[in-house]
Amino acid sequence: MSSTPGTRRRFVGGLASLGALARAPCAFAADTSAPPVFDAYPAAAASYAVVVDGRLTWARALDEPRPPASVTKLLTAILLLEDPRWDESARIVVSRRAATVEGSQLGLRAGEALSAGDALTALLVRSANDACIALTEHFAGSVEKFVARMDPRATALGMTRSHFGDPCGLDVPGHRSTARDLLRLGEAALQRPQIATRARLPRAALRTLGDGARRIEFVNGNALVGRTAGVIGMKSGYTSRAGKCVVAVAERGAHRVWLVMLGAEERWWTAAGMIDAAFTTVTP
Amino acid sequence: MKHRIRTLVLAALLPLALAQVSVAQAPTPGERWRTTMSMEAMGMKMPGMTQEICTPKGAADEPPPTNPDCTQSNVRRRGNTMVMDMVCNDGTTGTMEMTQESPTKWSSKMLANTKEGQMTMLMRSEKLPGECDASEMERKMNKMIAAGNAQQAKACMESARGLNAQMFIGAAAGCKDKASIDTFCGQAKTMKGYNTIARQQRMSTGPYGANAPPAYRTVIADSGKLCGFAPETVRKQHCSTAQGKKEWTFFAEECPELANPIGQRECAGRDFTTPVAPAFTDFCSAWSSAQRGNAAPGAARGSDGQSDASAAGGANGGGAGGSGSNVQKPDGSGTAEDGAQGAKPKATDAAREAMKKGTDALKGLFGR
Repeated sequence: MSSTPGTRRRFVGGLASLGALARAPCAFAADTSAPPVFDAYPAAAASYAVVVDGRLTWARALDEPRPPASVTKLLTAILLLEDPRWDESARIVVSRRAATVEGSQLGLRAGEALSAGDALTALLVRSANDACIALTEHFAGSVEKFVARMDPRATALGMTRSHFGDPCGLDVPGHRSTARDLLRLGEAALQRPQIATRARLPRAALRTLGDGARRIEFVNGNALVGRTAGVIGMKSGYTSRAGKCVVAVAERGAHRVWLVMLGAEERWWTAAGMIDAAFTTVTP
Repeated sequence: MKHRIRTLVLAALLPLALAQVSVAQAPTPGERWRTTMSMEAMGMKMPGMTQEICTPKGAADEPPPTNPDCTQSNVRRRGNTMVMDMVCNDGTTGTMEMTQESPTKWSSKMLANTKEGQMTMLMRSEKLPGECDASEMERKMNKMIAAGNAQQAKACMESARGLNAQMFIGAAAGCKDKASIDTFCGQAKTMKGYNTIARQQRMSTGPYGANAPPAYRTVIADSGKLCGFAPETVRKQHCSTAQGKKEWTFFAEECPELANPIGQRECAGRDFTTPVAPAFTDFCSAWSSAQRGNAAPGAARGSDGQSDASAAGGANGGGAGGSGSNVQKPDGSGTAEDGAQGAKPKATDAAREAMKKGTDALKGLFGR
């Protein structure tokens, strides 16, 4: 069907009022003034995220669930500190289960005791699984009861794709998180001075309590602490299924960088380089 | 994107819009219309926006001016509905339907296919009783347009400072003003700026660059053209000073011909926690991450975008940069760092397997 210019004009004229709207600045548009997020380090880790001053800058497989290994202990620490019975001076007695747990340990002996504060330091600095088990047993009654608290707390922190099956991060079926969720966890942990002050220690020491008390020294499992400028924590982890993992936060001047790596092949050099590179995106 | 959508809306409706009064100041008898517009584009929805506007009386009888950016063709009528096709200079195509429901009610639907995706815009317009001053509407519209332009200028300047190249380079570039282009060019020539745009190009041409804006693929050369500099000359100039300035990230990422021999000699195979010559500690970190980043072999480099496979070539010695590296005991304490299970795991194999799964998943993601 054809139309005359006059017909078309009447249609067009009838819609003149609509045209006025079109001349207004279009508020409906994607914001392209912010650079897109890229996978700048495709070979760095199975999953990673770099956040610079609150802006997600580089990432890979950000929401892919993966075992988080001992990064889990950040959630454990939060839950311990939120326990109404939390007391830094509480006497924590090491059970047989705690003394024989696999993985990284302080070497605590069954029946040995230490303060809750020291145990928390060992949990966060040395990633000590024996201290981890002893703490969870003391404050929850059992490891299993403590685990039951983990998912609800994680959900409350906005960790929507995580499921925790072990308080220390050991490989158990279904134990998983994502780089995005661990960013949230790291930020939540950093808000707690009892965690933040411990996680930034390059090394620490504790003394067990009672007869046969002994001093145990240990270094931070997060090798970035004390070695990479500005790194102020937070937590590293490793299991055979998780690979090498780390959640780190660094501050230089007014700028803050968060790095999460899950399933890294080489971790420390690469993490340090990524943190340095992240700062170059904002510093002169 | 913002610019394109705005252009598209204007392209479709500018002839209608321009049918309004052009005399800005003198009171102009007008008629009142209530209009509602809603849009959906690229997965985003804008709820209906309703406004009352005033158009000059008799505007319907004025011939619409043509829009230089788009042409309308194949105008046909189905009952009280008029349909036309639309083709814009930027490649956008679409159709528009306008329906006269009554002498005082109109509706329209526009479907457009842009380079970024499909967009649907629905509009309804109803004439209201009473008269109005159409010039007042014009003033309001001019004010809104000015505010929009200011907003765009601000966004362009922010994009320039952040070297967001897609706003300046390529068909979708929305920033054309001299101030923001000057800022972009000033930044692009600096060491940090060159590093930024070079990363953009590498990321877009790398294995996971499918989601990169097309402008990034040749951003180094295009920035040179836009800004009047020779990218390779700029890179080499910065490389000649980066080491002395200890700009290790730039040095490792952009100067592989200089950095790789040093990295192989000083970093490969070194454990992060064992002493490295202090002068090389930061360099080794930068070099290691560069090996695992988009500066890896095959990454685009230089003014012509060609790869320099020899430049970032394989560091295979383990430790920093080595693809076969496996730092087992960062603190040298003798136990696995944390959480490790009783049996000593084959960390490298597990990580490789995990990375393969991640890679496959990512390929699936981008392959959709």
